[in-house]
Parts: sequence; C-alpha cells; structure tokens
Amino acid sequence: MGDGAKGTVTSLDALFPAEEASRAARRVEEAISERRGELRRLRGFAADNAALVSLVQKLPDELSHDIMVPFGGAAFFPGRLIHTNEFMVLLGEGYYAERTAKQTAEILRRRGKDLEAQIESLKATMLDLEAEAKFFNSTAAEAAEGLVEIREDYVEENQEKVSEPGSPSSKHEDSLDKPNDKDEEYARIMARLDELEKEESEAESELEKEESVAESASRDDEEEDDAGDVDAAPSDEDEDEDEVEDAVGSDEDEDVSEDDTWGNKETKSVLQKTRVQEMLDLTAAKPPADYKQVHEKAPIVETKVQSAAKAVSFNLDNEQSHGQQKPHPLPPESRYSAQRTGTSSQIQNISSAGRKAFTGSVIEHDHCLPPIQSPNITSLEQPSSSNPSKRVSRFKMQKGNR
Amino acid sequence: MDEIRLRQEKVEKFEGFVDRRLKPDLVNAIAQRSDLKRNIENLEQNGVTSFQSMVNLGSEVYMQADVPDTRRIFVDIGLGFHVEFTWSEALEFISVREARLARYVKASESYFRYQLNDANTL
Repeated sequence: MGDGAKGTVTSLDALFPAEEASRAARRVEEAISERRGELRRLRGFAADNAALVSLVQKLPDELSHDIMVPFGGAAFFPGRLIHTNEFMVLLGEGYYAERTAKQTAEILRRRGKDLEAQIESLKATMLDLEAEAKFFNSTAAEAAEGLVEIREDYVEENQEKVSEPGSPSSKHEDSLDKPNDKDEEYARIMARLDELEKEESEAESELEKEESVAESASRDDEEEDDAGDVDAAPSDEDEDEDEVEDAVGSDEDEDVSEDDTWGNKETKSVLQKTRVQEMLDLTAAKPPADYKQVHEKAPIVETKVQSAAKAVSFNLDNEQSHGQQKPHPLPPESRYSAQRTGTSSQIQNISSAGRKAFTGSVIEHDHCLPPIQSPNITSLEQPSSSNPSKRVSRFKMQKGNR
Repeated sequence: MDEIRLRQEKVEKFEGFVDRRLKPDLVNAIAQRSDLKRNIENLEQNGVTSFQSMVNLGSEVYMQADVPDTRRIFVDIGLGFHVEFTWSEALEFISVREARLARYVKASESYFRYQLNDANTL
C-alpha cells in the first residue's frame, strides 16, 4: 500500500465516524417517520374530502333528512336537516360562503386537488430522505467494518507533498514511510520505465529500422517528421543528460536518470505519458526556458499520432508549441521529430514541460515545417547547430544543411 | 437506595403521565358537562321548544338543521351510549356526572401524591 507513494489511507471510520453516521442515519429516519405521519394525515384528509363530496351531492335528493342534531359535545336532539341544497362552507379566517350543492362540490374538489399536490411533494421529500438514510446506514456499516479509503496522489518524488503529514486518520505506516517514499517511488518509476521502454523498443525496432533507412535516404519532410534521430538519439542522450543534469535542479536528478533510460528508446509507452505528467509537475516549477531545447532532450517522446495515447516527448513540447505540427502519423520519432502531429504536439507539450528543466541550448527547430520552409528552418537551426555541446540532433544539423 | 430512587422516578413518571394525559381529558369532560348543563338550563329558562342550528357535515361544511321538539334529549353516558332524557332528568344526570368526575379528579391527585410520598419515605 502506498509504498513510496504519498497516499493517504483514511479509514472510513475517520471520515465518517461510525457513531456519527449512525446518529445521522437515525436523525434522518426520524425525519422520515415524521413525514410518514404527515403523509397519513394528508391521506386521511383526502379521503374525508372525497366522502364529503359524495355526501354533498346526495343530500339535495331529499327535502329533509331526519337526523340527531348534536347539542354541545355530549348530547343530541332528534331533528331534521332542512334546506338541503344550501351549504355554508368555511373559507377560512371566519369567512363563510353559502353555496349550493354543486358549487360546494366544486370547492371541495379543488381542495382535494390541493391536498393531492401536497401529498406528492411530501412523498418526494420522503424519497430523498430515505436515500439519505440509506447512505448513512451503509456508511456506518462500512465504517464499522473498518473499511479504509486509500487515496494516493500521483506525486513525483521530488514534490514532497508534505501536506500529508500522515494522513489525518491514516494508518500510521504511511507517515513512517515518508522519508523513504521518495526513493522508493523513484526506484519504482525507474523500473517501470525500463520495462516499458523495453517493450517499446522491441515494438519499434522495426519501425525504427525503416525510418532510419528512410532518413539516410533523404532529407525530406518525412525525415523531419520521422524520428530520424533514432540514431542520433543515443549519442545525444548523453548530451542531453548532461544538459538535463545541469539544467535540472536537484529535483530533476531523478528525471535525468530517467532520461537515460528514455533517451535510449523512443518511448512510446504509456508510461511515458505518466512520466510526462510527472515531468510536467517537475518542470512546472522550472522556468519553461527550454522551450526550444525540449526537443533536444534525448527522451523526447514524440508522440506519434498513432501513439498519441502513449509516450509523450518531453522535449517535443517546445516544438509543438511552435505550432509546428505536421499531421503526420509519425512513426516512433526521435526527439527531433518536430513534425509531430498535432496530437503529438499536445502530448509533447506535456512532455516538454517535463523536460523544460534543461536550460541547455535553446534550439529552435521548426521541424514541423515543410521542406518549403526549410530555409527558415535552417536559419532557425543554425544557431542551434552552433552548439555542438548541446545535443543538437544530427537531424537538426542535417536540416540546417538544407 | 438505588432501588428506592428508581421507584421514585418511576412513580414520578407515571404521575406526570397521568397528569398530562388523563387529567386534561377529565377536565374536558367536566367542562363539557358543565356547558351542557348550562345550555339545558338556558333552554328551560327560555322555554325554547324548537330551534335551528347549523350542523357540521365534515370539513367545516354546514347545513341547516331544525329541531322541532326540544323536550327530548339524548345524553351521552359513556361507552358509546346515549340515553333519552327529559330536560329535568338530563339536568339531574349531568349534575351527578359532574360530581363523580370531580371526585375522580381529586382521587387521582391524592393517589399520586400518596405514591410520591411513599417513594420519598422509602
């Protein structure tokens, strides 16, 4: 559980103490029973009303009826009902209306409708209350069982979310692990990266081969688009790494190491995406100076359109940001694949954000630009190429040659 | 000692209950009787033989009713029975009833007070 991950383990008990939950449930149940009583009363009224309506309609049938006339509360007089078509209806506030049987029946019907509406609304309220009660009850039961809510933030090792000085009600252990979390997390991530990279490289090896062939063949847009830098990647990696290290702050260290692994392969792994996000977080702190360099970074994961979902080139961001987006379904690109497609660009942006740490050389590459624009590219690239130390991709240099 | 206290509490509770629930009923009944008595006396005094009134049909819907002969009265004697009385008989009955009710009220009061004292002394 949360090994290394800064997570909070919150026992439901803490969030919703069993007692409180059951108390709340009881309260809600009381409210529900109140409503039920109300409902019963209203229904009674409605029934009385209906009976009265029928009575009012029957009385005028006779001229008079023999009845027992109540006298006070405890005595009766034998008598007769007279004027059987005249009814005195109480309108409220001491006002009465003398009406005929038909009119009285109408009044009563309207009252009945009113009652029905009230009953409906009351029923709706009761339903809500019942749902609430159910929730409380289930929560109480869960809390009693000791259900635990585990929430782990996806945090980069560097970011010490110290905010969780031991999740409030978490189980102890988390806090203990805090100091080791970073290392553990880092190791964990590295391992994952390695795995993913392996997978990716295997899958991409073929593609890469093709691409590299194509690259050497021509300097076309395709090349630009392609991850022509596959070859260059490895060598550049070192440079990148250096840059990375320099550029990156202490926090980036971990990223650097990650870069190593990354740079080697064009990571198309899903992991990369996560990584990217991680990087993003990391780099978020850094000044996004590396706009341009981003693509220099070895582990630029150019997200190919296809692999849009996957790897994100950290460095690509810059390129993308430049708006150089070639809607090419780029094969696994090298970091220099500035020609990432729009989608990749998005991802790249993310990745580049992560890579931003490398202040290194600011290489402006309009990789995405079509050949027509090569002159522009060249001009742009030249400055970059002027920095041999910077991991200027051979690709770039090639571009510059154009 | 605890037991005594418990009993005391119980007694108090019962007393309160009776006071609250039963007493008002008694008082009500007494009031009714007295009202009735007054009304009958009124009728007799004024020599009313017949009158008209409004009868509540339910939900405050009234209809005129006519009492042609007031000499006969049906008085509720409890347990759902109504006895046909003449005025004088009715009045007599009512006074008797009233006395009984008053005695009952007093008796219950003293009974509970006695219980309370009992608990206290224990």
